[in-house]
Amino acid sequence: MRVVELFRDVQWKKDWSTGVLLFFLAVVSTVVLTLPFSITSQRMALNRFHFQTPSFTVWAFQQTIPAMYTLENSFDYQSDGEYNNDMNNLLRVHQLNHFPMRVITFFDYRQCLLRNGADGFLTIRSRYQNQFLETHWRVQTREGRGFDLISDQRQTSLTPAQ
Amino acid sequence: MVSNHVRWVLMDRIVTTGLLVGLLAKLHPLFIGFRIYRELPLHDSFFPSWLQESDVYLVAYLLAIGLSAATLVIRSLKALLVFRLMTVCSLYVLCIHQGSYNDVTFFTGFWTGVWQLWFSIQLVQNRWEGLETKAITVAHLIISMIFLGGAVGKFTEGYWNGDVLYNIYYVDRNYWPFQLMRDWYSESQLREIAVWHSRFTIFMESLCACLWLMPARTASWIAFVALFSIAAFSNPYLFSVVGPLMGLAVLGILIHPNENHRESCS
Repeated sequence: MRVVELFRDVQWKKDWSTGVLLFFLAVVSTVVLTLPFSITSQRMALNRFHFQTPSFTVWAFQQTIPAMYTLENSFDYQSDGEYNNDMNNLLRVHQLNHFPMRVITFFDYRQCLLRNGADGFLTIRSRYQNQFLETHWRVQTREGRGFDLISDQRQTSLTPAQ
Repeated sequence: MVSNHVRWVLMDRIVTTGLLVGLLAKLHPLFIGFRIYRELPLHDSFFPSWLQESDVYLVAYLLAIGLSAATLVIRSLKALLVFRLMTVCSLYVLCIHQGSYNDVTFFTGFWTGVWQLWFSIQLVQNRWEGLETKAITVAHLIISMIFLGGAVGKFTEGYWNGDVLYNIYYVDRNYWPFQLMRDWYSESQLREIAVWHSRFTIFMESLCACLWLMPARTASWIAFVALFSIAAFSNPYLFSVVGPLMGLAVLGILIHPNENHRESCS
């Protein structure tokens, strides 16, 4: 088998670059494979999507793991600002198939939500099998320019899904 | 007979071209994004402040493109290695930047960059024996790992009963296959089609997660057709995501591993 040849190279020819690459591929694939079975993996995946991973370094490592899956994400955004029809249409779609926080971080939605310059409240919900995560965020205008995104940890809940 | 050196250069350039196609497809949206990030900066306590800067976002993107393009003309192996390392670092910065972490183009680009870096190390270390076969196998391992992520994520009730794909594509997606189907079929028929579309997607992605177990040429063809179909039949914007992986996939189609490598190298 082709992969066995690669392992032979690592072992007999001391091909460490191939060894390191195979090791990382094995680690990433193992993490992916545990997702349907392990509550820990499911919670890690949910926390990753909501920026709730305890350390940015761990999150940054997780970013090398494929995340092209749905965690049945949805969002709500409430603001005093007014939106035109295009923006209302965009906001009408409350389902996002991956990385739901992009609703505020990525430029297309960010433009829609923040252009009116008003403060707002963002709620993000994700579910994978029996795990459910809901996070709440305040979006506040900054003195001068820009916005602050503030997590409301008191309302964050990671629970078995109902 | 084409010498091995020429074949290795060809392999490297095929993959680089795939990566550049993916990255260049992002050129216009990226500049729009840069402008919006400058106009509406968002500050949060999760990302380090330098990873919230719009300038970092733009510089990392331009570096990834510039360094990749430069490798098409440089001749020194050591320079190639340094350029590849810097390309991987730039793509990784885009994978963890506040404005681009969710963009899968940079994720597939990052892993394609890892393949290129590994290939450069092999060349610099003179590990020429069987390099073509190894390079194709490593490419298949990387594509398999990415498809594995896609498949496992779809092992959910919502995908198995077709609800997710129905809502994403069949309700109002403005793209020709779905527009045609909305004209031809009733809502209940569309729901039934979505169920089988969804199950076929799970099957295909699971199959592609096993590319590394298949004969090289078969694996390459399956990967290429699957990647092309994903973009062609669901969303043409996805060519930026699958472009780098298509570069890896075609290696096994265009390159026939040369068993006489020792002779050619000597």
